[in-house]
Amino acid sequence: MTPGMFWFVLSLAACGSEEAVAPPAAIIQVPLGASADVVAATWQVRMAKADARAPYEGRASWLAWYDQRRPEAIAAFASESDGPGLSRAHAEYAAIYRQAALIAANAALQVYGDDRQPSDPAEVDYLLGIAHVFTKQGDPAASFGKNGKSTAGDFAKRDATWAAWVKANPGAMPDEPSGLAAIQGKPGDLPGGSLVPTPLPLVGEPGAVDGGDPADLYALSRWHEAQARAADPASAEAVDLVLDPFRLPFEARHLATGAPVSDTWLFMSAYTSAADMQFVSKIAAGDLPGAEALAPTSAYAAIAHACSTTGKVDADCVIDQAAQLGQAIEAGMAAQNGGQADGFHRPFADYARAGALRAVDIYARARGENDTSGVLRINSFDRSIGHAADPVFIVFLAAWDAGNRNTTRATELVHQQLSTVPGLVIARAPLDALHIRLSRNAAPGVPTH
Amino acid sequence: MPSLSRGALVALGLAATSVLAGAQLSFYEEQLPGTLNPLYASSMTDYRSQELIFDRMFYHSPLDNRMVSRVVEKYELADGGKSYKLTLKSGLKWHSGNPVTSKDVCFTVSAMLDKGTTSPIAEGYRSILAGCDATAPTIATIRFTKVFHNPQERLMFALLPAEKFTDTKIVPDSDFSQHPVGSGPYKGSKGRRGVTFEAYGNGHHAATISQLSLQEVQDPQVQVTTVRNNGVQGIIAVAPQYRPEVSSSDELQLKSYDLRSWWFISVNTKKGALAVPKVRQALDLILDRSDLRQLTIGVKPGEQNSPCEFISGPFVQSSPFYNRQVTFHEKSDRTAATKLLTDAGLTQIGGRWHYKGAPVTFNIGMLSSLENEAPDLLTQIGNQLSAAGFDRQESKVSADDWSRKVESGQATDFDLLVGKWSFGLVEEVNDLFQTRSGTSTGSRNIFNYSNPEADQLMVEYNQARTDTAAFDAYHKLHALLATDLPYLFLWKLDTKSAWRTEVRGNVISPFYYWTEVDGWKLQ
Repeated sequence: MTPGMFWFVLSLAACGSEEAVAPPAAIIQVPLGASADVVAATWQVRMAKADARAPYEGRASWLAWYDQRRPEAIAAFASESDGPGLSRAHAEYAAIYRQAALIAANAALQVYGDDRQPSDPAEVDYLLGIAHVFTKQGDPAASFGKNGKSTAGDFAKRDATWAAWVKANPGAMPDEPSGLAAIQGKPGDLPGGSLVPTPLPLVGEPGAVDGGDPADLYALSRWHEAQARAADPASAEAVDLVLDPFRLPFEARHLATGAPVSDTWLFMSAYTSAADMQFVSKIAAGDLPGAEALAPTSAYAAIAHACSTTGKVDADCVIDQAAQLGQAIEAGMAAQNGGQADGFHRPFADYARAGALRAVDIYARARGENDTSGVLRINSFDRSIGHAADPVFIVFLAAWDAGNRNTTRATELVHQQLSTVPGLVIARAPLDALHIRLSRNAAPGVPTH
Repeated sequence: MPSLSRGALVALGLAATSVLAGAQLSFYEEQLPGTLNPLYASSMTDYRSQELIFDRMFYHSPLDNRMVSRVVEKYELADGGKSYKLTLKSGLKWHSGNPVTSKDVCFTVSAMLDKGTTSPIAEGYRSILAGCDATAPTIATIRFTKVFHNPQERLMFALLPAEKFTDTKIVPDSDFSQHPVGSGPYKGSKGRRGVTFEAYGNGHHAATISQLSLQEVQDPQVQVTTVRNNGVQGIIAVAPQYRPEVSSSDELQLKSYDLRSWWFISVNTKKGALAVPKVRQALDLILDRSDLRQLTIGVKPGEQNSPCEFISGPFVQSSPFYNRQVTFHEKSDRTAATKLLTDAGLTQIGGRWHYKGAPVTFNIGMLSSLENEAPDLLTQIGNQLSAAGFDRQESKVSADDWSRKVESGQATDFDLLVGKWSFGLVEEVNDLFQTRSGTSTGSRNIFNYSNPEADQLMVEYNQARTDTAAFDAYHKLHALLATDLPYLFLWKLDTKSAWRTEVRGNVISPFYYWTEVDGWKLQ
């Protein structure tokens, strides 16, 4: 379905779509462990009915959202004075920029840590310090306080600020770290485009490299988070549910209370229900038993439970059940539509196909089953196609890749998201530096046809 | 299979459904491999096929990119970091049944260091490796030319069996290229119409699928129809216009394959009017890349998340080496092109361009396997040039001829050649544009392009002491090539595979693809 067709289809759904096709010939089973009620409660099935979609139809914001034009969507939410919609858009940008900060931190840790060269700019000590803080690895105190004489941008000031903070706060990072850039903007804005990396001169060699400060990205994330909370104070729980899985390692997580979440937060999201959001949020908060206990109401928790009965998460089982969930949702949507499959059913169900894999990936990682998690993560990426290509997940994947020194995919993912996430130019700087360094120190490669 | 119609091929795919089942897995490749000797891989099919047959000393895990080895038990630095002492795992066997020993490791190193081995891959290792000593049957010490802080990264070559060679000078056309002996998960046997890989039980490999069958069909519709009907189980590179069909099927899954590929038209800068830079610049403006992309790959202008992105130089846009200040021409600008051609001394008679009194006819060739991902590209390029007033002849170039003639600079009868280059982590392009000198420089310089200024920039890249210097050299090279135009740069195109959902555990490794084939299984 082309982007413009979404609106066309939604507009026609109530009176019978031209894309209508024959109903599925076979009865589709629900995924292992999930009840028919859980499938029926997914936003996809509930919103297969035109009246349930009515609040979202004819809106520039949601059309742009569906078409993966997030900058237009967030501006449209603001102009439509849709507080919950604007809150969600800002919350997702907050999650994206948290992970963008992690891309920059992971890349800086690699290129200026283990792979550091004598000619690297003196300012990289500061970047390493930030990377240590943000990744919760190493000792930031050993890196801060060395750039007092830097003339590059305001690195001397930043370094001094963080050095003082680390000295005064030797324990865990607080929620409001000092030294962050002041972000200017109004609701619905994407202020990241005004930030640029600072050129840092090499030591003893001509030239400079771009210094991308992860703290700038964290500041952007905090700004979006504040906008999300201000846009709709009643959505505070939902903001935390969106943000928690993507917070930086040093941050405390919110404990999901199970409060209701409106459809504005679920529609065209990677979660089929509020229970799915709570499942992932509880995992992020370290509450695995609490997450597992959601199996009766969360399709993702049900799949995680059903596919780990042998004591380990079975990746093949999860892949099968994620596909099964997609089919069950499509069947449920068709049932809501008088037994007719419609053109938008598959794209809507695809959000769940990718989302289930992503949720159980996070579950497997929390259990220490990293290889299984990796398999599911890659499969989730493969399922993140078309409208289901969630920018939060894609930036999350790039951050993981940066930490794994897999710059080939990470640079491509960041490049793809630049039009959606303008502040990624900051993260691209250390990632590019890492890529060049790795490629120049790799086994020989020749162009191949 | 040129004699069969598309309909007949589709029917064959349907008929094959009941034949290809069980533990055999069949898949479509872009082309047949030209060689199964890892020192002479020149196509991606070569690399992928060789990954099934051979072990590389070290490789990156496709899951988390960590460096691992299937053949090395333990390792330690020696000689102040200039040597690497390896202990092989016990029980490793060649497909001949003989044991893999340290002598094989050292033979492989010696073969690459032998200047009689005319392999560009070996040439790359000569600046890294200094020698090798086999001190015990399972212990080898590899010497480097200098201390490297990441020696394992320099040891990603495939292991060769000393028993199959009479000396360390390894030539490309030996029997080994068609009937190799490796220690990898599969024994390979190349036939005229495909390659069969039989699982080989070994201490370090336990492939679940007993046989793989590589087949070549370049009609993307036939490929997709056949895989949908279970005639084969996978397609390595699915044409972009068929990807929505694959992704909307519950029986198939679209899989990402990390590969950096960009497409180009190489220009014979030594032939006729094309020797004039303004003529090349005019051709660059005549091309309507937007139309070409839409007509052949199916990407509409302005489409979000397109798998195909225009480029202005020899790198993909996401690469740090891509000079983002250099713009590309998306749409045709015939007015500017006409002025350039006129300035270059060409005249238009009866709507056709003439140079030195004769009509200009371009002999255009295209690597035949590109037809798989971009059907009709050759015709569409010809049509655009014809509409602009140039006569043309078109022909497709087989993969074998591309490897033997085009890459070696012997296809000089052509004026324009359409191709693509693929890269892994290393994106060096010196082999493509540096003045050719034996196998040491410009080994894939298609029309023997030579530009002293470009050569100097590539030397600067090679000799760069800092990443910044390397970055600057390639940015300048990008800008220079975008003006001098030994290539008309087209686009980068993502590669996606399609596999039936019965195929499980199918983790695809960047570039090499089959590295984790032991974990693949059929449900």
